[in-house]
Amino acid sequence: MVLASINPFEHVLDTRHWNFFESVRIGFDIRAPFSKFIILQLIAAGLMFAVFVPLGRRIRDGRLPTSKLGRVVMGMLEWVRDEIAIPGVGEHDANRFLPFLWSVFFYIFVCNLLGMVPFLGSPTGSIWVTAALALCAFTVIHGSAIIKTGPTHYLKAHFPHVEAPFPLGPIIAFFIAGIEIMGHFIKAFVLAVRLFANIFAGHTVLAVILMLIVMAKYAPGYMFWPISFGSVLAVTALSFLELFIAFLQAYVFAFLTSIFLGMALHPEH
Amino acid sequence: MKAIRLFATVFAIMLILAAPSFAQNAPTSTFLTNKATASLGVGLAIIGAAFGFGKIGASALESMARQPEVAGQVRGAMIVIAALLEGATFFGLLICMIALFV
Repeated sequence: MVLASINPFEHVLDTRHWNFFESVRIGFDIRAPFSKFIILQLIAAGLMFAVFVPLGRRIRDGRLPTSKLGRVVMGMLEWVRDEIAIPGVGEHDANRFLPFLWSVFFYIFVCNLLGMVPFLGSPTGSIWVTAALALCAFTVIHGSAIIKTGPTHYLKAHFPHVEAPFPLGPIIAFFIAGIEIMGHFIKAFVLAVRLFANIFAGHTVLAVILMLIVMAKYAPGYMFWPISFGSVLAVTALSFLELFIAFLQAYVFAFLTSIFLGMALHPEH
Repeated sequence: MKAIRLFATVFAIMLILAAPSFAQNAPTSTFLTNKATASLGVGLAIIGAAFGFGKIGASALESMARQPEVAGQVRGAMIVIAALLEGATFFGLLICMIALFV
């Protein structure tokens, strides 16, 4: 029995052809340098502008928001400040890095949530998008530390003071510094891969379970309804989990970024 | 000790059962291409993840029972640690998916 292979990845990965309904060929092609995820990221950025610019202007003029969305977003902004920024960088620097942390958190959250909307997708399901986000975080973390203390001083802060006789001491300090610097790059890489793998795997699992209904054509006829019901129930439950994962991965990314910022700005001695 | 022996027995049986599939022709690709082995890798990663989640949950529940007033903070820390552990699991999953499909 030959099984036609279904490809669950084409629903999760970036394409130049945006499919709405494949079997009746409703979809449109996207021209060369652009792709589906680029359009989706622009949609995410547009949504953020549409929500935050009026809210910011209102707060700048001294009035609190009265609409439901405004109050929810303001609550989330305060929550990010109290749970992500202040525990990570400390109260003194928190206000300086809040715009960046707010942007990172809400951009990743909106991008993840776009994947749960039918016919759209989540741009964070591409390793390049998450690598770009991790690169931004890496630049901010080390850039602000270098701006604060100067490049050579920041580099020297990695070498610990080792209580050992002459040949051994500097060698050990050199290796410890090397491991710490490698750790910086590894931490940034892991930030990207964690977010990418969570979103990519979640959506792939959803696609595979839904496509079991398509594969039901190889099963006896009476199995179609149990397979369909089971598949739709499982996909509904997993979609709730995906919504939670969308929020959690944004929180973990922002929280780890703020922790690394705090560690770079105030090196523990 | 019994658990280790049981695990080793199950592992040996799985390898013996998977042995015929190792004799197939491998498609021309530079990475490890045997689908059974890559799927086994995912299973091993899941074992590690489940063990870690069990330990996190057990210690979180125990501390919540011991001191109910910090239950909220414990729950928050537990979720964050679970997310980090899941990231590590997805590393293994990613490597196996690359082995399967690239």
